[in-house]
Amino acid sequence: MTKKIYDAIVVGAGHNGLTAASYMAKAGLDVLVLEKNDYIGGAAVSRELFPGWKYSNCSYVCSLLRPEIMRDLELYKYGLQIIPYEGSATMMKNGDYYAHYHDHDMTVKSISRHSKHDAEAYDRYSRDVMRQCKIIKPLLKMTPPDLTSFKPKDILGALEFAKHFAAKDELGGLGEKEIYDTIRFYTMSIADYLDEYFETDITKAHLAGSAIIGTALGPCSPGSAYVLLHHYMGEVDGSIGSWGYARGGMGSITKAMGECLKSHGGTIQASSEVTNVIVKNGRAVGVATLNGDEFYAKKVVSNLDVKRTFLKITDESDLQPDFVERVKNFKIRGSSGKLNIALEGLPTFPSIPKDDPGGNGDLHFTETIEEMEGAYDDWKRGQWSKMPYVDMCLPSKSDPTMAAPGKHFMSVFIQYVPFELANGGWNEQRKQDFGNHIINRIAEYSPDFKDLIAHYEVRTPKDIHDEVGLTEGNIFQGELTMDQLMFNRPITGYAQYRAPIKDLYMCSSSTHPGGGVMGAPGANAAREILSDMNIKQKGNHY
Amino acid sequence: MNIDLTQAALKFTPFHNRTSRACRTNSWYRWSGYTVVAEYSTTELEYTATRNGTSVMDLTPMYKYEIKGERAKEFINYFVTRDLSEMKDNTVAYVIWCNEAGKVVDDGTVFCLNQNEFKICCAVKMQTWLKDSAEGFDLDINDVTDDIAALSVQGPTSCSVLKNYGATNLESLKPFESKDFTIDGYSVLISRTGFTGDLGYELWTNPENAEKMWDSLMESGKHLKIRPMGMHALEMVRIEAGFIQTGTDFVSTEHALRPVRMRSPYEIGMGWLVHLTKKDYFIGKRALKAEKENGTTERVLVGLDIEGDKPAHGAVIYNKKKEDVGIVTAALWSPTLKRNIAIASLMRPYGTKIKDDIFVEIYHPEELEYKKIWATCKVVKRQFYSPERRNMVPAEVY
Amino acid sequence: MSIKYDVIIVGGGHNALICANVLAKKNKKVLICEARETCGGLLTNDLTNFTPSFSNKVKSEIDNISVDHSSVSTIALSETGHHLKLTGNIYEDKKTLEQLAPEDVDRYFKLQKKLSLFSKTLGSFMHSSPPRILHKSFSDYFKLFKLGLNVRLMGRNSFNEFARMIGLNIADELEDNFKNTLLQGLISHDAITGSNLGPRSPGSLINLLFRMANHDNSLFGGIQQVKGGVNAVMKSLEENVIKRGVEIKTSSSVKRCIIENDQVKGIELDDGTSIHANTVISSADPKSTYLCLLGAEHLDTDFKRRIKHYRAKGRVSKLQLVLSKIPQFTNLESKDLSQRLVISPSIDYIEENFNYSKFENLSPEPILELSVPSVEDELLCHNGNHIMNVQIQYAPFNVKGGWENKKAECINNVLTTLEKYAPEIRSCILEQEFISPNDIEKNFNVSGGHWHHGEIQIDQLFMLRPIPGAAQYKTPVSGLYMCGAGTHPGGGMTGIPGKNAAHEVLKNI
Repeated sequence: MTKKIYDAIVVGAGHNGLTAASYMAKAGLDVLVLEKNDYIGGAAVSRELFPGWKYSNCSYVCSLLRPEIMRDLELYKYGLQIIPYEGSATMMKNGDYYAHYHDHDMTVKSISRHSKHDAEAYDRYSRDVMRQCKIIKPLLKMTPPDLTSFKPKDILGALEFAKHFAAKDELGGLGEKEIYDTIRFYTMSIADYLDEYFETDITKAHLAGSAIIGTALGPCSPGSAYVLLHHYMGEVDGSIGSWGYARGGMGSITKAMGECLKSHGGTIQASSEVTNVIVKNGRAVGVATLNGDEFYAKKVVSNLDVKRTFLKITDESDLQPDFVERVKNFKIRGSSGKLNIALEGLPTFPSIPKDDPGGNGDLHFTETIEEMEGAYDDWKRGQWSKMPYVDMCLPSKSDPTMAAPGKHFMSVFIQYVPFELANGGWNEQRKQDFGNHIINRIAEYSPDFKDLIAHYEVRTPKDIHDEVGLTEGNIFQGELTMDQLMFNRPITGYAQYRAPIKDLYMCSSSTHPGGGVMGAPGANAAREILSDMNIKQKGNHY
Repeated sequence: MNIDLTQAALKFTPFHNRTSRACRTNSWYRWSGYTVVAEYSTTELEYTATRNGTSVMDLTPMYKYEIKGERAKEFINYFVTRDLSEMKDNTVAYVIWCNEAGKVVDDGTVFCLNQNEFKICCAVKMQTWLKDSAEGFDLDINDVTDDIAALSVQGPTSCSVLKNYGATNLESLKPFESKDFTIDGYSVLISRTGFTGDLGYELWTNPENAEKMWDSLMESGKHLKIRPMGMHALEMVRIEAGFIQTGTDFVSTEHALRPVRMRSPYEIGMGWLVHLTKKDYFIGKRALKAEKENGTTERVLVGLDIEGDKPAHGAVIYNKKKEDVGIVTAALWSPTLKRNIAIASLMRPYGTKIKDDIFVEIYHPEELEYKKIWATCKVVKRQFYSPERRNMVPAEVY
Repeated sequence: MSIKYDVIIVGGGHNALICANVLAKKNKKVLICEARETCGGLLTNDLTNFTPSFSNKVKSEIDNISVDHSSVSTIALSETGHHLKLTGNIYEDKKTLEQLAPEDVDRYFKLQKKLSLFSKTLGSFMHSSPPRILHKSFSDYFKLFKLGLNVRLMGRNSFNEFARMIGLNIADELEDNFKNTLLQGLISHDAITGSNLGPRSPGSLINLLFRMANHDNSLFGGIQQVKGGVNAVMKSLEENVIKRGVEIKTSSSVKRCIIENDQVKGIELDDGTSIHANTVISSADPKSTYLCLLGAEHLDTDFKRRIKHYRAKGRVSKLQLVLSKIPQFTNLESKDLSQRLVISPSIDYIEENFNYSKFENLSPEPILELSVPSVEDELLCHNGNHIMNVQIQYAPFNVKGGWENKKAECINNVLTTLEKYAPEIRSCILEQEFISPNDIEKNFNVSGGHWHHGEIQIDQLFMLRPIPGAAQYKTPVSGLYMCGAGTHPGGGMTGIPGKNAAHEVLKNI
């Protein structure tokens, strides 16, 4: 009996792999998704690590997931519901707090408690950042052009990219000044950028957080302003820049995608780690798994990051040495850790008044850019930050499905934590030390916090690297710096989702437009694959 | 009523205790971070108060800035497009100011308290723009919005009301003049200015006197048909007067997300406030000069007289060939004029050379169904209503 | 009043002199007003040790400069005594590297080749004024097209690599290539000198490319020492323009430009004298030009915002030591002391230094570049004694605590660092003079005391330098131009801004 040949095999059941698979299945292909873990979702999961609590133990909030994808894949049918944030707050050592809210007037009023100037500048700042969001939004669903190609398709693509900037409809026609602003925005540091608007440390520190989450840049590093944009360009129901929780935890996103895939006839096989891509006559024809199975397909799509794709599951002999070197030089740096905590009750944060909606979103306690940069300096030296930037949230305050009534789940994201420690590798002791360090930091702002802990999980970049499969535990599967964005992502000249090996494709966050539970790389990759197979997609918005 | 104000999104004005009591409809409006009354009783009655007796409106949310220093006058003259080099103490000027591209940032009024001290009153937050503009002038610029309680007292009997209130000889105050009064032991700045197109005054005082001032005014006007007016009625009278409003008829450059939405003064009928002959440089002068010389003005803001009686809210304007040539920014069936009027932004030459043969497409709600009306309209002067009493000196006294 | 001059140039730095030279060759009557007693600006022996030579494109447009010069090698000092000496000469360098960093030899030359191709490409944009985007002018579009084409003509792989490199940081590139930390430290040093970047800050690589473009497109070649120091070059430039009929008024500080109807009419000196001309070129830095010379009342708010946010805070200080004898450096011959000595042993060393400087603190172990030029050139002796010039990176503008209190600490840090390489240095010192960025601001009228009149970073380069919309040597006021290091292509002793500005002026008068 000859072995079955699928139309496409997707390696890795993360949200991008599932997105790509769903689009392909929807277009009529016979798709198989292989996942190494015994659960699907990759970094977008809800797991019951302690009985009674759901943990969004990797990614924890949702904003970037493209609404077009939710629409095309009809994710609502499979239970996906996004709950918007009510606000966010930074707690201060002097017992005060700084908050932003869902309501603009309330935010302005709140900022003016700290500085009238900043409250006013916030309007102009919002407008300028919003303008950048509008500029970048259509680019998210384009395949970056190959600027070196003289093929008509690529030249048209490049023109499309360029035309977009002058388009009158979406952006209202950018003027000379706005284009210069854009160039500056993409290359500046967030510290310099915020200095152009704000005068108080607390405003700048609160806003700068988005510019460092997940990256190996500090707030003073040029290019960090773009990272801020990357976190702002998402939307919750048209409200650009807002964040929300996925009801039921981040796993509901991948669960819905998985259901969608199955409803279109696709297959998911868990506990099947792909060990190598089978290449014959220069074409990818299938994959082999750890237990010795082989699966064959017309197209192989890798949802692993570019390093794992080409250095781990592809034979180096199938690639040009030059390409391999570029992959090796691709920067994926682990810089973030996580604490996932099951709480017996709601911890109090005395600096935020009770019932203040600012307390219902993300909470922080970094008060100055200097402190944030200092945290980065620790990381550069191979230490976890003594004064880390922390992004805490309690989804269970808004989502009744995360924990039993009165109980809470708290997700604590920590920036910066190195993948490798200067004084030797990670071990159980160091991991516990790190966890305790963070818990003590939080306890400084919440006296009853420690007593409420029922269970917690510490995740270092090393853990994320080993378990989830994100190289070095980098949440974007590749640094978001100029040299690795747009047509440079992942490798300049290979930004069109096609690997140098025929019939092998990439759909991970290592590709344009990058990470952040966006789904766009997956959808873009599917579009390229289908177009190579001459299959027209109908009725899709992506 | 027990509201925790620290948790509230909006601030109360110093008149809130009075306005909320007078507000029988519980109909509120968000204005620059403040709660103000949209409608006290009915909009028609409040509107009529302005044209018949006196209306009182809470103006506190208008942004006010104080500019002090030796070069204050030079700065003001550089800041606005109008030539204010001859501006005298205790006068007020209506002005606009632009950015470097010659697009309008906002309009407002400048109060000259003395040659080294000015106040600017406007609709959009202006502190950072003022501060950045004043770079190099060594001035003291402060946001005094919360330090001033402001009321607008407008209508044919307004002068009499204020005289009863204690403003002696007010009738001799000319339009765009201001004067300090001490009434009941507190000081009030009264200027003959307004946004209604009628005889009227604006009063500024310290917030601690606000409630006292409100009460005395109501008492002084009790035989002169006084009535508090909400935001809805204000919109009616200002359209009749042909006044433009930032955020409605044009977008401030400081808020415009899309650069094409920014407007030059010539595009919003404010060309008369641009004095290119002014000796010194003013912000936007180079761009405005170029626009004037090269004739690159794209749009024009005009008044429309529309057939029928259905107001053309948000209507699109077409030419004969059914091509889209503009949009209605504000519309009203005028109770006084008995005309169907609108303020509209048109693409030139419509509105300048071509004034007839344009149409508006009105969707008029009629019992859950929209009726599409194709109405002809005529370009007319934007100032639809301006009674003689508005500028009479001495002012009419009852 | 009759107009005596076609052009007045404010300031007498090298860009001003070169600009004057080009204009005078076209028979323009030029006056230079310099506030200090001598011309030369920041290029004086007090501040500058070495010079690149002017590019041929600049040389061909100015009169011949007659000075003796010799090329200089760079020596990266190592505490172990295994110093690394690079000359820019392939054979010599290869020999050195084979000995000290055998694993890196091939990669070094590969990297040098790659960088040099890119710096050449960058260099080709330097000699004309940058285009404006969306300005509806054919020549602007043509320039943009040509620029794109130039980059593309490097070939597909190089193009891709160039696109990647623009935003890259130097540390990544070096760590990907080299094993030897001293070599990494040395190259990183040249990438961050004069800037407010660390080796791990994205954008630091383009800084290196800019440096290379001005140094014969080579990593360590193209560095020269002139007999008599840089003063000799300035003197020659000055003599040349005087021969051409240019008038130079020294000790004449310009108070402001005279503007009538948005047109320049001349300048007013501090003493109240007015001098008329319809064209004024400022070689001062952008902030001084716009906010002091021109005046805020002639500028639009948006423009002032951009000027205010122009980043120009210097991070380099200078220590000049008068020595009783030539100090002994471990494992170094005394004739080598006239070469460029760099103390920057590794990337981490620099990055650690940068961590201090980010928030205006002093590093206990600063990065140093030093030389004792008087070893080879007796003209540079001071009363018969030797002079050591030490350049200190990063020594921030407005250091926390103020320079008046921090000077001694900074000098001590420098000497302590130096002692590791020259143990007896302290005993040789007769006199010392310290120049902080704040001193540069005060003494040389450069706001922020920045070497390059402003950071060399992508958002302040090319058509964005000094600020977008005014990057073509023109200012919003007609007749007023700029020719200083704050304009394209930026600082360094290149003379290109001065030359380009002269062309822009000639186009218009």
